[in-house]
Amino acid sequence: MPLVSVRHLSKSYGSSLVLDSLSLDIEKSSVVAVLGRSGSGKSTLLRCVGGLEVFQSGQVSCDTQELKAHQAADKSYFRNIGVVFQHFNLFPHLTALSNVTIALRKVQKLSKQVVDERGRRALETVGLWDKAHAYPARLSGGQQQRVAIARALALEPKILLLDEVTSALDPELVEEVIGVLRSLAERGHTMLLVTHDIRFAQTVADQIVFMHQGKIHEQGPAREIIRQPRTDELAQFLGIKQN
Amino acid sequence: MPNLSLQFWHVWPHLDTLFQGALLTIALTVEASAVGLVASLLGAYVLLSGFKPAAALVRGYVEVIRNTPFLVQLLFIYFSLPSIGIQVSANQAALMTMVMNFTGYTIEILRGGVQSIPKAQLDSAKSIGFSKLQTFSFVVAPQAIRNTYPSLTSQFSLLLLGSSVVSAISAEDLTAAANYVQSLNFRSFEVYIVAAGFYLALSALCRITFAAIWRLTFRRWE
Amino acid sequence: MDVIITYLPSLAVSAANTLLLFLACAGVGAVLGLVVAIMRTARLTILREISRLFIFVIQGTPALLLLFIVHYGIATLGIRLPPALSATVALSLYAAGFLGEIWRGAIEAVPRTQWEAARSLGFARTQALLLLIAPQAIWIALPATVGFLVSLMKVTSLAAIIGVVELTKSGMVIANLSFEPMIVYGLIAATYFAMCWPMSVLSRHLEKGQHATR
Repeated sequence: MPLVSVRHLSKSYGSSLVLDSLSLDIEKSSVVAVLGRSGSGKSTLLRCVGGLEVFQSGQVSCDTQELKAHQAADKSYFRNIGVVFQHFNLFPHLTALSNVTIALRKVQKLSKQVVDERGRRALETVGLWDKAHAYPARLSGGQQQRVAIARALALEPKILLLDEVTSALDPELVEEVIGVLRSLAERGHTMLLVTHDIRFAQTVADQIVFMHQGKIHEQGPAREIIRQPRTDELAQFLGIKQN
Repeated sequence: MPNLSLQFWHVWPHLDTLFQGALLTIALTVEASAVGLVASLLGAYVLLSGFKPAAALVRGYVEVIRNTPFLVQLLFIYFSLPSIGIQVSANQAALMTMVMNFTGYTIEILRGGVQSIPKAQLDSAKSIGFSKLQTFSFVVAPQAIRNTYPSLTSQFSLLLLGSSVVSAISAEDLTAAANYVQSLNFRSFEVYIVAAGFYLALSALCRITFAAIWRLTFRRWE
Repeated sequence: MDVIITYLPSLAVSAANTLLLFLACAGVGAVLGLVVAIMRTARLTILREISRLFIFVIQGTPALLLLFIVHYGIATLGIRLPPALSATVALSLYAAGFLGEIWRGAIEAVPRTQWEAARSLGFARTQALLLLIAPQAIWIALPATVGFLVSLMKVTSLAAIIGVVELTKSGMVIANLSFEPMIVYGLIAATYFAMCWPMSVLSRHLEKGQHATR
């Protein structure tokens, strides 16, 4: 039984169709990278799975929770997912530790002991426990993104959704984030990541899904699909000339 | 028990009085802002001229105007001038105070507008032989006004509404007219509501006029 | 001149009245303004439209007329309020109309992505607003809010016209008694200046602080 199952998902913005009856399974502990050009619909797919967008037809199920068409996600759906955004979206008026623990305290209403423990563990996982009391403005882009990852981790979600998490970072800061994600993958976290960076996908993912114009054109094991693209669109995306 | 029956028809026969008052309100506001605009341009010029003593005086003037109530400024002008021998009518005192008040705020606005003009403009003016005065009149002032158009029109609207205070010294504006009418028909609530309606209508009229002025002159400079 | 010195104590009391009126209107106005701002950003259209109409009317009506409507107007409908109460009611509504709009702007200035992050962590809309969005909005709103408070302080002078014995009204009485309008009104102006200027400076300082963090 896959952890996350997307069935015939379709979404339009006004008159333009962004996702075209898309189906996808994500197994537990697997890392799936969705590759594609800007406008291919990959971010929209992630946002639909994450309950951040309402879609017109199809179904998304995550563990025991389900999202149906035309329905806004119920608050309880967000217990299963942890989202990390391209621009980190940390709360600027809270310290790193507060950012990580605020949902645990105010939404899940966990005990102080549990909250403190989870917060510490999450920040240690991303290697930023020493910056627990720093404000986001004092952290570098890479550090902020790592705090954002810790914030998602602290929820102990079934799946982590990462939307172009390295795209807004300077090149030298990308490595630290990739390092954290790789170690999370090794620990068996289920992850869905969206990126247009091929190298990033290759380094971290088991499976790669290639999207083009709202549909999945190819999917398969990470190494293979990059080395031997079967469709023209993927080949073009990878910059390989096909004759 | 409150008598909540509204009797707006009692206001109808006095609409002309209110209308006359509205005319004076508009006239006062237009005159005051026209004079005020010129005075503010001069003030902004002095502020940015680098001549410290004059700039400090202007700065002081602006701070006093912005941190004291319009009513107090009005009372000061209306009652102090006669005490040093200058006779002023209520309408004259109203106009003077409105000019003073408008200038206090507009100098700041235009200062920002002037500063936002690229230095290159001044170089071009110099290279075609403009004097400082010509540069200011033909190059700087028009662009400063254009750049700060929304703030300027907003100041005009504030002046329009603020002018109601001149009724306190019995200048014959819209609010004074409303005071007079309600003393005749004793329907204060209805009269003042209608007066408020007049002000809203005047504001709307100004908005339309300013939008038209923008379309006909300034927008074409882009 | 002696007349003025005799009346200095009562001027001081009047200045205190002005301060009290200001604080009352600022306080009530702030609470109402908060309600208006929340209504203005609500999801229910009817709430948004009601608050929009309120702001439109308040901002399009002279403060003096608001005072007259509440004080003299309501009297003709049978309810007679003491001038100080009328002034507080009228000017609180005035403050609510302006603060509500300032705070609406500040709430909307908080990036949409902050709302999204809150949602993805499981926060309900109201919770997110109070815990995560509001602190950021308050910081954004600070310069304009303090700037408006300066305006409010000056507007309290209009209460003199309906008979409230605050600073300006006292000034009018004493100027008449002493035949020294220039000195008296000058003194009154100086007192207002002393009360307003620090807030103006604070507002400018806050504005600069905002630009520094960009």
